[in-house]
Amino acid sequence: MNRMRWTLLVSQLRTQKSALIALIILGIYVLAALAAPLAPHDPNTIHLDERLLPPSGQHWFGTDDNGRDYFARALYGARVSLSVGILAMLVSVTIGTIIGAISGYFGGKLDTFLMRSIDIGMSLPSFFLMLILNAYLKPGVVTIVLIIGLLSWMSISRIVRAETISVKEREYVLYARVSGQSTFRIIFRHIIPSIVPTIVVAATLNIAGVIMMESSLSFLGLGISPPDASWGSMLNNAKGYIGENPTLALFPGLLILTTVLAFNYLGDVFRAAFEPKVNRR
Amino acid sequence: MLRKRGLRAAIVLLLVSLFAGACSSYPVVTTDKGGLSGEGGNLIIAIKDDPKTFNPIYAGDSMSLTINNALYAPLLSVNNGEKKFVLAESLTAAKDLKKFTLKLRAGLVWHDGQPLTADDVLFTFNSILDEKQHSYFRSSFVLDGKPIKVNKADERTIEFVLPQASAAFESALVQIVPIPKHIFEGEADLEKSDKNYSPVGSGPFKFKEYRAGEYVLVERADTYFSEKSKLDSITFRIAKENNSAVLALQNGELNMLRVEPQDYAKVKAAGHAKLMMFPSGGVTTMVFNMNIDRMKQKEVRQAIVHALDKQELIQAGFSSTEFAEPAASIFSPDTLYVKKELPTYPYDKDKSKALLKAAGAEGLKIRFAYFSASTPETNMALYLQQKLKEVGIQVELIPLDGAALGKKALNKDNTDYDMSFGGYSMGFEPDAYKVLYLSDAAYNYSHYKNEQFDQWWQQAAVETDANKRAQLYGQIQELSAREVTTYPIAYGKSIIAIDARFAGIEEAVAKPVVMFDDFAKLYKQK
Amino acid sequence: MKKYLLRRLLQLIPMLLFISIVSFALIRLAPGDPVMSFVTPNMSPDDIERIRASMGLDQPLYLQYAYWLQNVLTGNLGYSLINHRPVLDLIVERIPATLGLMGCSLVLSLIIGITLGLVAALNKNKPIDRVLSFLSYIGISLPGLWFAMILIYVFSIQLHWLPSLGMRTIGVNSVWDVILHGVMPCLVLSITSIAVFMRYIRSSTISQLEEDYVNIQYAYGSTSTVILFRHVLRNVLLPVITILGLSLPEIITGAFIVESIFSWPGMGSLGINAVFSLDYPMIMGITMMSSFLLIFGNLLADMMYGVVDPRIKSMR
Repeated sequence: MNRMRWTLLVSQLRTQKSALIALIILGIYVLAALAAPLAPHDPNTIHLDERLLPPSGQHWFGTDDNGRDYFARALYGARVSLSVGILAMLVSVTIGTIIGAISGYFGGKLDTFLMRSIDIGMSLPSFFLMLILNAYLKPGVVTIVLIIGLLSWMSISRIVRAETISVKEREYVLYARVSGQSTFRIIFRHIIPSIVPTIVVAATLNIAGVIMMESSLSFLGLGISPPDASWGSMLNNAKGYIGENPTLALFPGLLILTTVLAFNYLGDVFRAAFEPKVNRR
Repeated sequence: MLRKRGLRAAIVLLLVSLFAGACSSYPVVTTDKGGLSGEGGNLIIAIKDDPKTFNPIYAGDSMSLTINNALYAPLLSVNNGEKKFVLAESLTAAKDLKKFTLKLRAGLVWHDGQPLTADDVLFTFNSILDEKQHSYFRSSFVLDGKPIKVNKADERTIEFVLPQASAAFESALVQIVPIPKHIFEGEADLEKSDKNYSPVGSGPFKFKEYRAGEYVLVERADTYFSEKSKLDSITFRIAKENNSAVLALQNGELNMLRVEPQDYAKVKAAGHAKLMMFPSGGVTTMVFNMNIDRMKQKEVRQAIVHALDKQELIQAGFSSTEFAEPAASIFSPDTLYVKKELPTYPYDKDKSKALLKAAGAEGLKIRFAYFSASTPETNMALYLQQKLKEVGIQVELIPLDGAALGKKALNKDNTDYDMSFGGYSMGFEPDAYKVLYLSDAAYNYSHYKNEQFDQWWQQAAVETDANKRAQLYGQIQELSAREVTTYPIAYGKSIIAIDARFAGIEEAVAKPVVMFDDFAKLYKQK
Repeated sequence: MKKYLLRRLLQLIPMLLFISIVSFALIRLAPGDPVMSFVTPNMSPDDIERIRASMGLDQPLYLQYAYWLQNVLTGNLGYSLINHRPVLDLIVERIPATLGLMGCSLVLSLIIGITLGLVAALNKNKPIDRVLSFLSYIGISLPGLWFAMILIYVFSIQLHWLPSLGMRTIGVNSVWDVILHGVMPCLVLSITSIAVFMRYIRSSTISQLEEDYVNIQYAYGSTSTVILFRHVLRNVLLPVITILGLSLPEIITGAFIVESIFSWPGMGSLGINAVFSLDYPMIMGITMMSSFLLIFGNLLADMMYGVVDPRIKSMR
């Protein structure tokens, strides 16, 4: 069953050129982030005599208000933005899957309790929670990952719960139960593996959401701690220079847009591959 | 069929509710704008945020202070060291500086036509001193734990009796504007009184309208005792984003605004506005937290400042030394007895390293806290981190929000960080600075303790001979510079841009915080 | 139906209560002190302590919460620590601007989203569908702040067509002026939901068109316009109400950011200021207000769904 879906996915990627483009874009960004130390300039060295230079052969993206090379900052920013995206996704997917599977598998009062809690969690204005939590914790990648991760698992667990409910009545799960396997084993060996495709789709779309969240957190001057930068914080710093130095905003904005776009697109391609009904359209 | 009708109903309901929401935000302003078309014109001034209050005894934010400066007349004001009487006609100090007599002008009235008398001044001071009203200005009139006594001598005369001599009394008095007794009398809690939102003042402009998040409109008061305003009205418009405000100035949507250094060139190039630059009265400093043992070592402090190029530090924080003058004294340049010749610490890496070695502090690690929302502080902290690394000092930056930084700084046993920035604007009277430097003062963020230093401050406060005071304050500045108790970085400047069509700028006198001392002198050229 | 409504309304109470406890605890455990936002060196520590006491900040936390709750139950959200005014007044005078912006953006999203979605569905796999589909991906991937900056750069800085400051020009009293000021904020706030609605409408229209009843109608000789507007659209539009409810959180968050970029006089900037100065009652007020808006919005969506589709009653 699952193998068939993966084969379908590969053929999807092969036939849809745009999906391949999305993958290539993300691949380039990941490589660039890994290769950041090869950049000709240091991202954090201040040059007071080279402030706000336009893009040139020397400085490909120009320099920022502290005379730092903007290209190097974008490369190192990619490390922060991408790792925040992936790590926060892992946090929220892990929590979301476990809670969702437990809720769906056991049903009854536990399910009601968990689902009502999620209702409440989703009714809290997450934006405010982000602001408040940020005041407690030292700014940095770990903090952002935790804040965003802890605030975005709820929708994933709803999806996982729904899937679990449908899967748990299947023969192989019933068989495992009858043959006396532990609940823990059933959930982790049988149920979760069979809903992996759904999780993959949710995770891909989740990364896109996380990167967007990080940039709105940066809008409030919160998040990554100086001198390091993320794309979001670079975008936020560019706010004061839209008139004279629009390129300061242009580069990080384009990077965020293309990354989020690629993840969103891939998420849909995965979904189409995994859910043949959607594929038909 | 039923389902279909239901659907239509639902959609109609939805749309109606949405449009109702949308429309209710667009009420057409119904205020009489007659004043706006008059000859004097309307001046639109940008302010950063909503004013926090219209009651002057609770005003601490620059927005409230600016607007109140149009609505309320002070007793007297001081500009560039020059005293100007406004509501008061005279202020006489007794020889021992323990008693001050203030005489009001004759025939003063409030905007509602009621006479403004000694009773109002007395009521104002009683309210400020009343612990239950918790006015922000109470502490200024409590000396050594004892409140001053205020008496009414006659309808126009007020006496202030001080528990101890204070040369700084006059500088405390200039902060105060009288509030109307006939309006507020009997209010249990002035801070929360509804009457604060229909303020009755005594200044050149009277309150007209306040629209939350948008603007405050004031118009010429014909009851003003002095020369009536040439402007018909002033609109204080709330503009949160610098960029949009600068743009609005160029489009003529705004006529006046405070300019940040990084926008200076842009505003100048656009050419619609006159730019004024003047000392802000503020001092930006770097503070060593001497609760930390390493920071108690004078050599370490000197090594750190030798590793910094003050010019560059200022460039990093304020774009250019054009917008902030390098500072030497802990006093701002307009302060009485400020000293120009003081020990300085030129940029010298080798000396810095040698001092560190002598102090046995090689491989020093420093935790540096700064206000994360402030661009100048962030940029200076980044520069500092880079520079100190060159002499082998590792700096860990600790960005904090205002509420957290303030709380930590005020903690007398603070050991959460080793260094931070400081800043203050204390006015022209050097005695006002002692709350920042006495050993046990709450605002002595460096926690520097020295009995001799304290004694000089206390002596200077009660010294009536000007020469001796000058000498004492000279010693204080000298010691502070030698010991590097605090490292003065820069004297900031205020920059104001005003639409070129407006005149009377000289007469109105540009002033830090409130922008202009007397808005009434501004007018629109024909 | 009435019973269901009542039950849903009753469910609101424990939910809001719980939200209030969580937010109160979170806010109050944050480091920092609201008093710091107006302390000056001229204030003595004794006076500062007195002011803190007058705000009730010297009481134990659980008592402070109890007082707060007691006040809220009598319709009093407390006094802002910074603005010296009742929190409720401050919120009420700003809520119209925020609701206006949100309402405008919802209407815009619905109209544009539905139209483009139908256009795309009816031209399935043709170039126009591909272009629209690509644009919709951009729409859901566009960082709001960046979009706002681009709009300001193009329409305010370069072309001088649109103002980027506030809700109206001082001295100009016209609805047109307000609309001009509202164009960019509304567009920034709507862009994501336009894309979301459009994608939804497109895919569900396509799947409806493949249903059997459509073919039957064709067989009966109905024209495609009739089929589309009389049968398909009805089934497609129904779930839009739910999606509307689901997109509320994003619109609320978005409104806060948009308002502070364009100095729009709504609740958003009030809330952001409150968080930074730790104005506890104000933060609580705005948090509760936004939670209420969210929960109520979802409830309303559910209710409408119930009205539109009577089957829902039997299902629950």
